[in-house]
Amino acid sequence: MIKKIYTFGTSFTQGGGFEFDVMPPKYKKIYEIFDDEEQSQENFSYPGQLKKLLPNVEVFNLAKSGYGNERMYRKAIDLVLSDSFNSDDTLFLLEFSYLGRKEFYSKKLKDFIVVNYNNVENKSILNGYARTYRQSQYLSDKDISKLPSNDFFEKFVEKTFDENIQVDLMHFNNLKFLSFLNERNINYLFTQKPMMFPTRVNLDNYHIETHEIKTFRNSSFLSELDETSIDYETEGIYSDTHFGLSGSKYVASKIFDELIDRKKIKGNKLNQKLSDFSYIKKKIKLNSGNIL
Amino acid sequence: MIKKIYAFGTSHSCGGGFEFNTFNSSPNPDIYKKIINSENHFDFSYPSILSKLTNIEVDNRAKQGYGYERVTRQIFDVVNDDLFDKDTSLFLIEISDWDRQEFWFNRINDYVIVNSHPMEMQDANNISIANDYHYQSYEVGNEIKNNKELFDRFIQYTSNIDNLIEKLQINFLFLVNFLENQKIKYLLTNGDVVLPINSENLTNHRDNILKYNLHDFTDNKTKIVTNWVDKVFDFKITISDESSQQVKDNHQGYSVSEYIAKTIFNKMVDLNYISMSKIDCNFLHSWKSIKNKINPLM
Repeated sequence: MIKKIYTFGTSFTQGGGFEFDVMPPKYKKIYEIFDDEEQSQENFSYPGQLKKLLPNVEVFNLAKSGYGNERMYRKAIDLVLSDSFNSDDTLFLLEFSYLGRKEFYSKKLKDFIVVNYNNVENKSILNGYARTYRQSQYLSDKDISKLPSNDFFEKFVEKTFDENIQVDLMHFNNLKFLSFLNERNINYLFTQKPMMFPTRVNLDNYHIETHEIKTFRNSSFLSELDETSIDYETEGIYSDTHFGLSGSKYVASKIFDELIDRKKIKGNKLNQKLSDFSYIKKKIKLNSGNIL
Repeated sequence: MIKKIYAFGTSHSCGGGFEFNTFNSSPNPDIYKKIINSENHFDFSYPSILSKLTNIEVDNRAKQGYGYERVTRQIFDVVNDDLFDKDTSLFLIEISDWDRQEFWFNRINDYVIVNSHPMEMQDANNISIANDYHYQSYEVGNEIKNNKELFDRFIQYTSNIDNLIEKLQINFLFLVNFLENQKIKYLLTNGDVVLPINSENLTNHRDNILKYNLHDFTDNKTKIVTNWVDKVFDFKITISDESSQQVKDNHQGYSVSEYIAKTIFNKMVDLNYISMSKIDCNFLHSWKSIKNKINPLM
């Protein structure tokens, strides 16, 4: 039986959109009507909701907005190397991301930063860089003052990033990481599986399908986003494309059922449908007059 | 049976020190033509010597100045090659240190390698950058020179020893697990990486590390080593030592490479990778024989 769950990924796992400390009051107010929900990013993320469904399992959310696979590899190996790690009773829930997220160490911050970029017409263009996105202006300014200028990162990205090179690097890094997890018998499931490209590497050795969460549409939690996003459940009042409260609850319930199916936990399946969470959208709509 | 050998590593695996007609100031190591009549540094490398001993084709992907990132990248290239057959291939992997970082550089459409001395990293004069330390074109050299400040600043902002070591360790753990997952045969020709505590059960690579009996001329004792790259200078078995300073270079002497090739040969016999008989493999025999050939009057 699983006793500890660690979740890895991007803002979609961290609870992006629910940065209550820095949210405009208007948006905060939307969710204050859910007075039985702790007003914290952790609680509004799917791992926060999963935690409530699994009182006997410790759930740790290690995802971070803006960051990607490199942070996941680093955090996963840190855990595996820790004294208390026990592969038998631990489960990793992995959200793989795509390109556009490159992690570096900042000597001045003594911490990691992420550089986000886009590839447009064979050119890589800087989108942003930060230690932590969506934090207070004061903390953000403090971090940025210790980092090189925007101009520096723009040049660095333009001159040293290439889409094909980054794809190859990401692809092999993902395969090496999965090799490590498989060879070391570490329990893991994909909330979002890694993108695979044509390769002569024997992918059968990874048993990708056996790590998919079948209770999600297309075995991908992002496939559930259309009718569960913040934007959807607030009917555009809060235009944010991350999971809404209904999304986090729905994703958590699907993972719960998957864990029952896989005999990782004991209990009865919830068998919840999307419509079971439509009350959230309705409640927000009912109160939208007060909010606006 | 092994039909093809792939070698990955640094200058120590590609015949470093035996570069002829290089743009840097090193004179040609002509006296070594008495051993091998070639001006191709690869011909002086242990993978090439092994190729001759075994009569197996070697694809040597090692490159001067580059490190583990290139090794990893080249391994992925090889396993993705249509001609690669894991059942009949052997990888020889030279593990290098953490102070080499490679970057893709769009201006030359190729990689550059940045070598830095971490203790002195704040000083850009101690950061060297090249696409090819010996044979890069003037145009490439100029592009690198014009953009050196960008790389210098990046290294100064980001290069932290603990972080670089951790990156190397993670890469190594993941890489050897990848090779094991794919059931690819490999030998580590220059030891392994110092891994963090609690990592004993995270790889099965230790049986793949080659061991060598090299002679340390400072105390005249034969010693068992795995990482010989770090020892050749201390043991006084460099090209400079072997050639009695006729060729000044701190890479391993040809006799070291010959001995390494023979050690790998015998390991391949032990592992039934080749059906041949073991050969005489004694470093001092190689050392004396090569020294006599290149220093006939000494």
